[in-house]
Amino acid sequence: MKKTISALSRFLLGILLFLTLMPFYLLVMNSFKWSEGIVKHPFRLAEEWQFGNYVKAFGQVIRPMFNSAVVTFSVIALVLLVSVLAAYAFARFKFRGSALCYLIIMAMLMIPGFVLLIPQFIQINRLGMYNTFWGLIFPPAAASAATGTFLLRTAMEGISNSLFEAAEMEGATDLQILTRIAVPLSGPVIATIVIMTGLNAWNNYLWPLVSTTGPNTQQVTVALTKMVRTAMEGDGILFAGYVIASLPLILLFCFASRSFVAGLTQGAVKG
Amino acid sequence: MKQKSLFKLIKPYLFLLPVLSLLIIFKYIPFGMSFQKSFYNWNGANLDTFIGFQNYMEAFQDRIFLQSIGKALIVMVVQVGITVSIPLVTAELLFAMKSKRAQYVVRTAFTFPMVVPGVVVILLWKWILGGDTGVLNNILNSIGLSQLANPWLGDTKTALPAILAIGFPWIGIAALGGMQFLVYFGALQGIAGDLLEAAKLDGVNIWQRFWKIDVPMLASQLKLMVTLVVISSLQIFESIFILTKGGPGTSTMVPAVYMYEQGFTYRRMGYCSALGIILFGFILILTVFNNKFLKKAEVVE
Repeated sequence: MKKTISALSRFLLGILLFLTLMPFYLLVMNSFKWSEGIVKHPFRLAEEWQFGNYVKAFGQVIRPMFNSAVVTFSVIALVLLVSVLAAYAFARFKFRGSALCYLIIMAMLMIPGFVLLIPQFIQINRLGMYNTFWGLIFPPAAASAATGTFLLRTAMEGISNSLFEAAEMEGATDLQILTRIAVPLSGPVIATIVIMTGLNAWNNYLWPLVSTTGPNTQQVTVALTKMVRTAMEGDGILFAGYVIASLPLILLFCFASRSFVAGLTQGAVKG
Repeated sequence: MKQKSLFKLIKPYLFLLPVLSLLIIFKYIPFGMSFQKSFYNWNGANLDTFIGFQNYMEAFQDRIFLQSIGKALIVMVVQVGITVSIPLVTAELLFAMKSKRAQYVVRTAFTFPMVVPGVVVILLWKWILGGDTGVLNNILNSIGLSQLANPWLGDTKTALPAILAIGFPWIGIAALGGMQFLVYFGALQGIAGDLLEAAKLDGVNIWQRFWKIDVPMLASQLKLMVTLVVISSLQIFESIFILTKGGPGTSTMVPAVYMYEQGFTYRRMGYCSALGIILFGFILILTVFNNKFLKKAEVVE
């Protein structure tokens, strides 16, 4: 009886895993085919491997990927900078209005993103940031800063106070305490924030769609929806583009899967 | 000396200055503007007249908008159903595996699709669900069920269900089932081994253990996940915008896509702001209700 249940649960798990991974198998396999092979035998291995698909797709997505990388790294850096500073203030100082300031930072998590879509669009236009990297960086960074502050505050409050006091006695400045103690000891949380923010920034579609136009600032997500190919080549080129665009994060995931799991689940706090 | 103490006094605020300015410039001011402009006939440029509650009155008589809320509620019910079922069962199945190593490998295999950009998953399913050359129709044809083949996204009856089916069984989709799966699995691992051991000795069967131990122990996670999915499902945008833009007809028109259309296609930005404020209120009410209702359910337990 027990063995049957165990076997059954493995079988079910296997089916779930198969169904989850199947589309990605199809994506990779068909990215090496031309139109005919995709339409007739989507499940089979390619008869003739069309590596040319990747060459053609690469040309279409490389610039947007570079743009997305610039934006992603900038958003991560900005979010880390502002939330490290804020978390340090909340964790280390007692000051008037501390609770109020915290509330001001957290309250905006309640507002659904699309309510702000139009006014944020107007705002970046007013600031002359339409179709610039600044416009792509600031509003998404504002969205992640609250979660970052929240997570880092908890982490820094968990650091033993005697450590801070000892450093103070030695005459360390706040900047030194921040960079030598608070930040290094919050390492795992910082990794979580980097991944959470990075995933959101790289995968963001709606904001780049409304806040940019043309190739100079085009983000990879938008570029993927606008890829072109000839009828004979077919969707294989598109699929190759999708694979290329997914690769950076997949590679990172291979090296830091634990941090990714933390980053994906901590995103839950973000609402 | 005096200067130094003044510096000490304002120091905490200096640390908060960057985050507060970021939020005020890119969140608070836009939100205030959104609220204000919901009372204006506004196209984002030259047309800008105060019209009182007219936008709101129009919204409550706008058939497409009201229907779009109905569609969002359907999405919500389906996605809440998904949230509390398949990821939970999958987490249980994985937790039941004895080998820690195998657990790790399987969890990793489930996690890697979650880092694939959402747009890629949507475009991939666009092909799977496609009419002539779609993979699903290809399968149906090859197993002799060609009468069932259908342009899934192009048919008013099947477009919304097809969009909701994207990512089936949803464990690889970070926001819908993947995060839930990881959270539930983490929580199961957190249940004390003693408790499970004791239950085993008392002869508790799997079914009893699931309902009497696992579900109560996961109550707070389940509640949080339901709340998050309620909020996110009402904002569903990307999949529908990329695949059908609300069509065919208005069969997949959800609030966020309708707002986008009103705001950016028709430049009715005042009206769009009003729609946003209404939806914000709606989400707020649902969240409060959700918290109250789920709390009660817990007390009954």
